[in-house]
Amino acid sequence: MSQLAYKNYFMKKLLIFLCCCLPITSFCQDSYTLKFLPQLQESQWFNASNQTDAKVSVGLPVFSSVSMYIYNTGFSYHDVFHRVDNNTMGVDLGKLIDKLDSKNFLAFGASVSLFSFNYASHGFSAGLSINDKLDFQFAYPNDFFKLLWYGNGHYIGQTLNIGNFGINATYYREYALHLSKRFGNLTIGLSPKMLFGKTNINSKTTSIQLYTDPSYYQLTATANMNVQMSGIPDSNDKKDGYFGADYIMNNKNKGYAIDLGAKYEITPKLSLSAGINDLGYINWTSNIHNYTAGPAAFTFDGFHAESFFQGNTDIVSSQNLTDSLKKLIKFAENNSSYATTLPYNFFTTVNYNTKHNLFGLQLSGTRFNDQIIYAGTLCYQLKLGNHFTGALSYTAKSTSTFNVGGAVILQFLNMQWYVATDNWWAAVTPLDSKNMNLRMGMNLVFGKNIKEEDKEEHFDGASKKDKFW
Amino acid sequence: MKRIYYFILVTSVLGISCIKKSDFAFNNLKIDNWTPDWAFPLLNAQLTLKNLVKSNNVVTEDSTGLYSLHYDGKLFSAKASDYIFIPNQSYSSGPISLHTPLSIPSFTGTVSDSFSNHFSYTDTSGAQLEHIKIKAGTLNFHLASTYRQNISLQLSFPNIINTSGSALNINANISYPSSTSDVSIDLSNYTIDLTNGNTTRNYMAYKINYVINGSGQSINSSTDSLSAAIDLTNIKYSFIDGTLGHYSIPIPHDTINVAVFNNTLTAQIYLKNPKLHLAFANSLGLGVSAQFDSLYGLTNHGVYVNMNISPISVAGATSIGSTDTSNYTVDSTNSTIQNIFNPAPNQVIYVGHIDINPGGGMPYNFITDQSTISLSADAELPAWFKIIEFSLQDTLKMSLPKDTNILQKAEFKMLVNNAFPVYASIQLYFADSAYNILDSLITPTNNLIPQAPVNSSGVVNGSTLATSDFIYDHDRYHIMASKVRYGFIRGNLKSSGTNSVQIHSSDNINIKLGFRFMLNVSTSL
Repeated sequence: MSQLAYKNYFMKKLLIFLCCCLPITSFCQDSYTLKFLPQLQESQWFNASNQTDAKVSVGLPVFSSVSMYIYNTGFSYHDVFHRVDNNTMGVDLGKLIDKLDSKNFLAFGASVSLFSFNYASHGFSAGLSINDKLDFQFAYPNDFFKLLWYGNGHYIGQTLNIGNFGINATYYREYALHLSKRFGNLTIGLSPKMLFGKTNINSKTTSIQLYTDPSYYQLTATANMNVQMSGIPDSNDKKDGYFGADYIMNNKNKGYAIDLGAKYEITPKLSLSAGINDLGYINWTSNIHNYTAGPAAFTFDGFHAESFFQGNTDIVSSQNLTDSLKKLIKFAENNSSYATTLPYNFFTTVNYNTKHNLFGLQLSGTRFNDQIIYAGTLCYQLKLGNHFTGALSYTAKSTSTFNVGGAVILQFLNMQWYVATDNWWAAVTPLDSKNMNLRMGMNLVFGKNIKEEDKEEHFDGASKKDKFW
Repeated sequence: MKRIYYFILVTSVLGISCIKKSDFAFNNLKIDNWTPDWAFPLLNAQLTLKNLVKSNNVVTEDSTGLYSLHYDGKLFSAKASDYIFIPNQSYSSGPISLHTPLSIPSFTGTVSDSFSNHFSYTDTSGAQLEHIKIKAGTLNFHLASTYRQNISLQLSFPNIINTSGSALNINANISYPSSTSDVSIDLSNYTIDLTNGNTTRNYMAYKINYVINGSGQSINSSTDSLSAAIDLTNIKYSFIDGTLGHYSIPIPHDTINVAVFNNTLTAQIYLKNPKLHLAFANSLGLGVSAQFDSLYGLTNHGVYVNMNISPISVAGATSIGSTDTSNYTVDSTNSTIQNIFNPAPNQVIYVGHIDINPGGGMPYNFITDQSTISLSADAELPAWFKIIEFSLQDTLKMSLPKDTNILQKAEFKMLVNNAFPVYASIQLYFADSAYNILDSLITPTNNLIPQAPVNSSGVVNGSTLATSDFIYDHDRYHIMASKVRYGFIRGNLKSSGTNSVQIHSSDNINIKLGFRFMLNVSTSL
């Protein structure tokens, strides 16, 4: 097998593997379905006013909660490639470009719980969680693909934003307290958090614009870039021995955040809740390497042939062009500290409980880069016996309208196994899906949270014993 | 619940199983509807004449910045000795008789006598020579006697001196019964003084001393005599002076190529103040007159215009070994030279001659065997002209790349901001093997280089911008691409305004060229 054939074979296998595994390995950072599962202590991390059913919940390192997500606002696999026949794949980037916004994002991330604990009783809940979180966002402009596919001739007299690529990546450790207290029909929850950043790449400004002048097609490029980085050692840092334990335990990049939530029970069956999560920031101060370029502009107006007519035949020397481009994107480095905010989200939910069923509606918004992604979620939860709870959800986002998710909770022997996703449908049509997520884990649960409403039936017809898992 | 669980499980598995291997058939990838359209600037040239053309021998710039074009060359060079000769001379003394009468029936005694006279140098040029330094040549002396006696004779030329200062003496003897004697003398390195003591010219004195020794035969001085015949043959000189007479040295027929007008289709240009600078270098010690018998411009279509120039007097060298240079400028004040560039010729043809001592009289001349006269010409064409019509055409072999369907459209966009006092239209024609024009490159019929404004002196005082688009699409290309064998480049040039214009070093033109092309690269990889 030739090297090229082997590469194709490898790439094909890798793509197949990724497409098959994405529904399984993708998790959610903002979990729409999880807010409707108060049985889990993890649901309190997304709705601060939620309280668990167990008196004591303990999350063991890693096992209790692992989540991952992947999210692409722009396109799915089939938006790029389509099957012509059994032996031929077709590519029509024009159709893809039509579907892209001016700015698009590919995001993925993961979080791993290092430890969690929660105590809940008599309308009061207090907990602690330690999570390592990784968020990676890659922004890509539609104009870049337009330029590649259509050429600049289609955009004469227009400015193309071909360089609005951005990377915003953060890896940090979150220490969170989860407190909630019921006051009559109103439950108030808050989760103050202390954050310790490990690594950050924040492309604060990345702009490369290309303008084609209608006069005789002079090309003007303007560049303005400001990329901030922390926790990525350069050669000097490595000489100084930075990394390893220093990196893992680095506590110099402090940050603070808070989750706020409130739930009001209009009737014993009908409740309304709202909240905002991840309202906070991280101040990055260690191992700072910021790179700025511009604002600068460069116009290529053709090869200057004056020297040619004076005997210099080297008129198409690329040296001047290269020098000008180097000046255009000439990075300057500084080590100034900076701050980044967390991608906050806000929501409101309405729940209607019956004996074995829960119907929920959620409206939410998530700040994603510099835009808000709005979503509406319908959720149905079915509880069967003492050991099984299932949920189905449908979420329509502003960037993806068809997302069918769900969750399964199995509880036995003081173990609470769960898996939840907002887009289970991606497992059915992975090549047409643009986002997938999943959270799963196992909590140790002990005792029963004695709530005021326990004097009544939580679910119609369900006994206290039934709810004591 | 089990049914729901199984439904979820089955649909997930089915969903994943819906991923077909053909969804990743990248070995046969087809790109659909990819027709990129790219546009780039190609050229931006600010061409100032001063930067383009450096002053040198061909192009000069005067104090006002006006350019002139120079075509110079050596028209001819002639060596005096190739045209001025010493012709062979033949002299005879005539009968020489004894001054004292003598008549003896049987003469056995001895008698001596002498005779003096001179020869005169003559040639057809009318030369009046003073000196001839002989480089090579022969004197043939023939002595004849009617005496029946023995004769001893010495012929002396007191003014023919060798390098030692000795006069030329020639001895000849006749022993009766012989009656003649011949002697040849090599005259190399002798100098003939023909002035007779600076009193005259062409004068060659000689003296004959002879002795008659009796042979016993009768002698009668009234009937017996001697005679001397002298020939000077093949005389080559190293120097002559005096008055050399009249000669004509030809300026041979020749041609000056005016390269700027090569490939001229038609041309009608009125050049203002063209000049022809003539430089004579003369090491002959005599004045000459140069005359162009014919001087005319010839176009490549056979059109010619004659130019009249009056005879030109050229001074001679004042001393041996020196060279006198005479400069003479032919311009509109002393000739009809202006007409020669209307229409513009691509050849200037001339023929003429040089007259030596054209004015007559008896001027003093000298020449050596190394004396030369040469003529150099510098045609100065000031860039001050009016173009009534000027068309250039060139033909080149051409074959176009095969039509691949990839290139759908090509467009050149040209912006010309002209600050030259000339404007032009240019066209490239595509022709087949029989020179039939199939198509042309440039669609617009307006001037590619627009007309710039000029002041009353013909100097540019502004600029004009012209934009031209040359668009060639696939269909046009497809029709002609396989047939094209030749390309005709044709340009028409005109001067701005209605009067003559001046081209100055500050004149400039800005050319900007953009290229745009549309491709169709929809294909399988």
